[in-house]
Amino acid sequence: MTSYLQRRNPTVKLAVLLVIFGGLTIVFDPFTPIVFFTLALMAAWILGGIRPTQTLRTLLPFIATVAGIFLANILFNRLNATADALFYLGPFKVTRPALTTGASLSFRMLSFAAFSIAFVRTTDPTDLILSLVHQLRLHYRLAYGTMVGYRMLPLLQGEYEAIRAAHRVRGVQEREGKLAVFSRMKRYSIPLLAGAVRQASRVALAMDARGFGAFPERSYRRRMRVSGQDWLFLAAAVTLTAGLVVLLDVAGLARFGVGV
Amino acid sequence: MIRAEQISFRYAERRKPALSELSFSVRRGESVLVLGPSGSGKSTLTLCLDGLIPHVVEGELSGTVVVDRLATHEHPVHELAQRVGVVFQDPEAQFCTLTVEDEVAFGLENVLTAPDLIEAKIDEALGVVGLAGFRGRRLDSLSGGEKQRVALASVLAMGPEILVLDEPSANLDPAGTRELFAFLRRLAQETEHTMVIIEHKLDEIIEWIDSVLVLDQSGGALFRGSPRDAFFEAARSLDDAGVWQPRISALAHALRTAGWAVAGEPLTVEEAATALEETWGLLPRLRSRPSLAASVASAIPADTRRTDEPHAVMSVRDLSFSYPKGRQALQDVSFDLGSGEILAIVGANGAGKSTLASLLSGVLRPPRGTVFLRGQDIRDLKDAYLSANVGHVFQNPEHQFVTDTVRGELVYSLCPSKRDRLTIADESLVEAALSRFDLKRLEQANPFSLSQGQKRRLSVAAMLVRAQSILFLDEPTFGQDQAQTAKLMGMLQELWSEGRSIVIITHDMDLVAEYAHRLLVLQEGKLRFLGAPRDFFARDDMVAETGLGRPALAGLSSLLALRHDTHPGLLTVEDYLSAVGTPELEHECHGDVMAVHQGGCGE
Repeated sequence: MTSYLQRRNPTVKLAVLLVIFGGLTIVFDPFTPIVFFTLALMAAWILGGIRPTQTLRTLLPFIATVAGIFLANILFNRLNATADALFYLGPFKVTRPALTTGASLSFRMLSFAAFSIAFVRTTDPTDLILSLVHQLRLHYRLAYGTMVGYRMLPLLQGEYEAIRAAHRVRGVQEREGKLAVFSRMKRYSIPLLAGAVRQASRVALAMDARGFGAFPERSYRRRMRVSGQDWLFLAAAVTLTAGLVVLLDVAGLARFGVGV
Repeated sequence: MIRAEQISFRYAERRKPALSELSFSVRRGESVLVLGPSGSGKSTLTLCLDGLIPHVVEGELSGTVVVDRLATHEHPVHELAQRVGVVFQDPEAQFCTLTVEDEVAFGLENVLTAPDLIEAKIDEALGVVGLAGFRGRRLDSLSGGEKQRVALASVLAMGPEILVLDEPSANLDPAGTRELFAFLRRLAQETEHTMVIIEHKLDEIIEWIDSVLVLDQSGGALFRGSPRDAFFEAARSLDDAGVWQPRISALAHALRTAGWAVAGEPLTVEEAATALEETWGLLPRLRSRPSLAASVASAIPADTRRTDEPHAVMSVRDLSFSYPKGRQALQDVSFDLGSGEILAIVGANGAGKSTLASLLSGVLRPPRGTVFLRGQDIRDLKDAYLSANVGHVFQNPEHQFVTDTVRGELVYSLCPSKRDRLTIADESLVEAALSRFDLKRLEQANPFSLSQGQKRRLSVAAMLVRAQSILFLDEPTFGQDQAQTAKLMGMLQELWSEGRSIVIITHDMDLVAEYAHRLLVLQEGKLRFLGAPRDFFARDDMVAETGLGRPALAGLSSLLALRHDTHPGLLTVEDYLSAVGTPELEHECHGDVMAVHQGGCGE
């Protein structure tokens, strides 16, 4: 059984994401992003069948970034000098502006991420490609090129692992530390590129051999359409986003633009 | 159906032409096998047949190719695509979508087929390849054999009369290969399709091949005719060109050379059985067990026949291994690798072969207390010590290149850190390796610019210059022609004769039969068989359950054993020769026999 979000047109879902992201970027208080973050978790759960715990688990890698945002604000927020200390973290003064800005930025980022997770996990890659062609009039060559690239990613990953193992057997010592990434990139890029170029030209030949790109148009077995339900979903999302922002503003919690 | 007249093709930026003045024709419904040494332009020919040359691939083409009454240079690729379908070697490199039905629909959509027609054609094509229930499956959930059949379905859906297959079984395991060949056979015999197939597993397809086209090194036609003429009358010149030939015809040639009057020109196991039965005095020799047992015993070195031999260089004890994502790759595997033996590891894709080799060579870390090198747990050994003792040649030689020159690769193996300060002793080791592996004139070339065979030799040379006593090789003969394979395996045998242990991972049962002293069969991560290859291939239950199949000569041996109670363990031409010896000279038929023999095959 597919979920409500899975049945929505990918382009419509992208539009909804844009509306929400747009709403989030003009708000600078901590409350609006927190409300939207909760909304993302609920929407993913109720409409997409993704349990909040699953979403949160996917968000785990962002914890470090969140900590960084708070730390930067505690150390460098320009209002720290004038504001009163709420408490002290060792030698550092922690102020209310530092915490509110930190929370605002963090939850804004987490909201972006949570909505994106809901999108990715409810959107079939093929549907997305087809929808880009059918609704957004993207040229099919570009769209299918993207799909073939997407297909090749896991193959490249495997190739990378194989090259690393092969080099290790040759007695190549991988350097540890910050600069190791660069020395690794230098070492593996040539065999990786050589393989990728060959693979890509093979796929290109195989596509041509099946008549790809013969005509300005091609027919489609399956056509992505925007249904009444999709329009309803879009309208509801716009209304909800605008409504929430207005509501928070009326309650005096929302704040637009930078400053006090 | 196909007519090629004087076609020559040279790729842009290459000096040597890939094809030169090649002419041949193929009638409707004919199945043509294309053979030729590496670099003889077989793959280039497939590109000429479907119009990718000259329309897509850059280069200079002269001459004309006519397929299904269309001259390829006058008609666009998409028009030709509906008459000529091409299936390439690697299924991964020809898929453009993510699911089976989308893949089959891809070509149809490109040529603007009406959507409701597409649905019917998908069902039809999947039905033809026997994958009717697979419509909604994701491509990455299919086995290799299934993938190749989807590739075939996606080509068939466009309705071509001509099918071109470029080594379709190269990336498949034995079971997948058999499954594909069984299907191709049905397609060739029950439909009107004209087929052009490049393949070197000859014994498995020879039965339904109508004719053979052999290309020579320069990309011209060396031979065009029936399979029987190819592998009997033209056998000598095919041999000289380094082209694969069926083991069955090779056996017939060898027996005749030894003086036996083998009648006819057998190509299949069934024909060979009949021919040997009709050869006067041959069967009794195969039946006389004592002499055979002796000859078989002498064929393998005494110290490699026991599974529990004392001079184990590596011991594996109850080795189980799971990947981080949870897939159990190996379960309770125990065996000893003898010093100075050639061991083959075989099994279906995903049976754990590469994992096992990687754990033994230090690419992956085995659990403590499971893998021992000369009695020491390899977890206690330093990486440098391990790599000085154990080498591992990966399937793709390119993966292992770390420098810019052929010479640099060898130097790097000897001293990775101080590249330009080689001792005189090391210098001579590099020189010796260069000449031993025939790379001397290429020493300043970039490793990536070498041919496939040269790359493979370099990767082995770079591993061996350190004189490691144990060497693992993953599919060492992949993509190599007969001459290159013989050369490489000859070098490995030479290394073995110096007392090193060689472990080969392979899908090629002929290679196992001809070179391996012992065979290790993995099935779903478990050790299924360990022992002499002849003992494995003689057991019907093992062969069937593991899905590995028999090489042709082992199949012949088993068939004769079933019919005449002869010994079933003959795997190679040499096995047969040493079992039968030479015919008795005093026999009255002898004169006639020799006359027939001399007239028959012109030795």
